Amino acid sequence: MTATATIFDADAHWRLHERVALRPEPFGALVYHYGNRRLTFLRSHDLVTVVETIGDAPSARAAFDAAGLDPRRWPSFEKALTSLVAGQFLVDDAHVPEQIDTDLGTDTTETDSDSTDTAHSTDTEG
Amino acid sequence: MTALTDQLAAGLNSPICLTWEWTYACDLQCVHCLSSSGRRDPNELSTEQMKAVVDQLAEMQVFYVNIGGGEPMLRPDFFEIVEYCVAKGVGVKFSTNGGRINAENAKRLASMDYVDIQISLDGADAITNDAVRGEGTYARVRTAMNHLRDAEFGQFKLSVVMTRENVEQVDAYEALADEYGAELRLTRFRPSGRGIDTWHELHPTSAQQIELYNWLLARPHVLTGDSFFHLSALGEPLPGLNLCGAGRVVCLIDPVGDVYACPFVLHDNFKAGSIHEAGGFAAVWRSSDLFTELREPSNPGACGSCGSFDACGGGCMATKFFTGLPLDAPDPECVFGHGEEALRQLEANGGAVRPSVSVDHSKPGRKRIPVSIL
Repeated sequence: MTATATIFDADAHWRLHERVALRPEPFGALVYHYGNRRLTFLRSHDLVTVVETIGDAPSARAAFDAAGLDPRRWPSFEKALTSLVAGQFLVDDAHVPEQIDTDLGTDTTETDSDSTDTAHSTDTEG
Repeated sequence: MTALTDQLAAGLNSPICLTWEWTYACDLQCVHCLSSSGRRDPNELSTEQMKAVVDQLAEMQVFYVNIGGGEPMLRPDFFEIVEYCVAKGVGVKFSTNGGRINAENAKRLASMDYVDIQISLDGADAITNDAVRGEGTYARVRTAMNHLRDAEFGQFKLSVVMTRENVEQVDAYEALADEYGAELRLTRFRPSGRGIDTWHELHPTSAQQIELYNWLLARPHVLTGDSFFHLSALGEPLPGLNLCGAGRVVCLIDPVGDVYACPFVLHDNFKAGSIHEAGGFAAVWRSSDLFTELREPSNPGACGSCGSFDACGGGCMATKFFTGLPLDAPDPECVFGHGEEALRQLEANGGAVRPSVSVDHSKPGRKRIPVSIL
């Protein structure tokens, strides 16, 4: 990981990185970043909804609102989104879409496995 | 187990880690080969069958596959299928002995996106490595690494199976990986394939395992395939999920299209089905009897009274099975020695009945390679 502090602004517009794919699973979803080879878990269906719709909302908070989330739950969602920003799964408007990236070395490649290496689990409420 | 591992143990729509072996052919005869590879199987999948599997994996949103063998680069259609995977959005990570990585192939690989390479080496010097992988292989793998560097492939992975003879060279592996800007990957030696015969003499001693655990704890950037989860019973868990993923998050498609619970259990007891069946791989993954059973909560068995069961989950299924232990026994390398005790009792009661692999493609006359202890 780069040492830069992660800045997540809940009032800003966010969207999924163009090289990120999301796969529905019984517990929520798996999210994979083809660029940095990170894998992460979205462990709540509400979080999946937020991540899927965040690009169409003017801000993260607007996406929370549109998903019908009780504002008391927003801080835990902000925390989850912060870790997604840190893993470059979510990007803001300053992000310029990449060209083909053959440099695998941007971050720790965390999906090594003959069994189950995984990346961070984006832990939100169970 | 955490809530997450509970959820994962119950199964997923698609595997997280799918190993797909492309051929049993190999020009080497490594003494620990997990798939007893050597000769090509006449029933290996055709190019068209391979592509049909890729189509299904893409549909299941399998993000990437771990390609192995045998030596996958020996397939004449190797690049064609790799390119097909990439075009379909299925990332490729392949394990190779490096023998086919010449200057031209290194450049071709470097030009491709979504392709990761894991190159196998089993010693920091020719004497240590060649005892396991065969004469001349240390020099050959270094040549392959040089080609990858010259082609500016980027960060490849250097993969070492930990044995009694090489585990004390971990610092040298780290230095070698650094020299090439590579990632280091250390994995556990299981008694699978030809390893059934060699594991008992070559697996690291318990003292070596404790040293390895401490070494890995201090180096979370070193990849392990999450294979040392049995060591997490020592205290602080190693990075990773720390569970046996067989049939839950992991499985294997072998070169003839049979589907097994994990890459280390090429045995009929762990064969879930075949990609040739109706519904193909997806049906086997989602509803085979074997995988359904493996997703049930596991019985702690003999480990039920151990306070560390939550940390190690009783260890590796394949390692127990191929040493002759029941699946609810402790792992043979249990850090508290319970596995060694279980093996001793097995011997005392008339000897362990060790299963053999159901599929052996070792070259004739070279099946039982004497292990030279250095």
